[in-house]
Amino acid sequence: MSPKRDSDDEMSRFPFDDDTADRLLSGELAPGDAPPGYARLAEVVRAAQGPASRSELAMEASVVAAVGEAVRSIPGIRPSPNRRKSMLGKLASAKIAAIAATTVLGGAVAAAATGSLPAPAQHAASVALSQVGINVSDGSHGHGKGHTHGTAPGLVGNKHAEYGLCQAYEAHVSAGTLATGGWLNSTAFQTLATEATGGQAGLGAFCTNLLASAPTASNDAGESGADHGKPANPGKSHKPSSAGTKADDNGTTEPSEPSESDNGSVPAQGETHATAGAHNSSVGTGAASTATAGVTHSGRP
Amino acid sequence: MSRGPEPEPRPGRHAGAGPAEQPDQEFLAALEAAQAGQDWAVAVLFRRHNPRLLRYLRAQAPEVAEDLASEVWMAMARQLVGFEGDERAFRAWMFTIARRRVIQHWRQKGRRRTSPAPNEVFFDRAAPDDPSTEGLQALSAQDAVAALAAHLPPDQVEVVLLRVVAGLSVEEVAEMVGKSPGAVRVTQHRALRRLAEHFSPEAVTG
Repeated sequence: MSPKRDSDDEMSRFPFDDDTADRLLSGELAPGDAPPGYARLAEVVRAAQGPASRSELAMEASVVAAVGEAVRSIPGIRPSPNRRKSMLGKLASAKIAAIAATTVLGGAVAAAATGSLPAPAQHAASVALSQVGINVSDGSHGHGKGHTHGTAPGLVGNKHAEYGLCQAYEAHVSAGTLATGGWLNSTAFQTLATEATGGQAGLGAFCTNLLASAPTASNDAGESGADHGKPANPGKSHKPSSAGTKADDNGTTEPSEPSESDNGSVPAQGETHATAGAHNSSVGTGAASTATAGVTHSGRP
Repeated sequence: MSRGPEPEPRPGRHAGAGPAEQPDQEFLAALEAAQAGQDWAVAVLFRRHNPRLLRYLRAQAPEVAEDLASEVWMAMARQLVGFEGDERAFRAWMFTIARRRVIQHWRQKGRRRTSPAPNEVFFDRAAPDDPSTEGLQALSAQDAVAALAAHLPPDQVEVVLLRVVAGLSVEEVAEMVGKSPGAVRVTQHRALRRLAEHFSPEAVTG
């Protein structure tokens, strides 16, 4: 079990160079090309890299459900666990709206209030924002005070921010001005692209979904009350809070927005509960999707 | 399990450490959609990476391999939105987490503290540890992994599995295990020689 030779001796007798060793270990080296005595090892290496077996994919359903749920539930901000459990459901648009809600709203309000959005965006933003009680039309009004942080605008209000941004986005696309005017670099857009879709590339599809599924503003006021019971997030949208107990596994990579501190009390997340979470995910998903269905669809015109 | 976060590199930093890989559009598209919480995309990532992950875990901690795999995926889920990088970086990230979980597992069991691969695990297996006399075609991937792991000391097992099963480069492995690339190469050479002697004892010279 212990090495029989010292390293120098061994290295000097090793029959091939680093590159060959790399190719052997990566499976690139065909057994027939291996140095004498290493052909079978090369075969075993290749066998170890063989195609997936059935058992290796057997956990797919539970893992995918749990991971998808967890990703949709983990925003750049931190919703309270209760809110998350009761409100977030299967519809990606609804979840993404919740995920990016506060920060996007903040950015949108800020940008729109200062008139910094290009004309089509400014118009769209003002229309959308006015529908939730934020007057920013052409920069002449003050902006809604508490909407950036803290006052728990809730899913509906936040959705409108995204809705407005997506309207602006679509307007830019239609007008061919997406890449001009600096809107792509605006805080609002960047936040939308980064937080909601993971990148600009997915924004088109995201907005298409959102605009197709989003309720109109006028119908939302009534039902929004149902969501306000649970404050969305206490205004620390972008604090990379590493408070979570699970920071250790994740510390591995330090993504730009370590936001797992919201994990505290949700089922599919404690390290030791992860497996249970995976198995139980269907329950949570069902409950959440039920809740979301009401939020998302009842406001259709 | 209870340690604080360590400031470790972001996965994307690993890009380029190994052989150049074509930017895989399918992966990147799936990653982006998975970051938006789309199940189909998560499934793509799962299918591409869980086989190797589970293969590694089954070799290192067979009795809890599935549990650990679930935990790895959940840990990744919590950080997925912030992930940037290509598939190679994704893989390195995944195995970094997996390796930690294995170490934690053995630590909790009060066994080896730094070597997550107690040999008894492998000796207990009914592994075909002598492929030289058997049809290699019939050697399952997991059996092949077990055969690679069965005759090596833990430090060599770790390097071999990370290189063969995880598909990581010497540099990536070195960073992961906290050794120099040179030290990893020495370990790797010892392992290869030992394995060659086992699989083809008559043919290895020296």
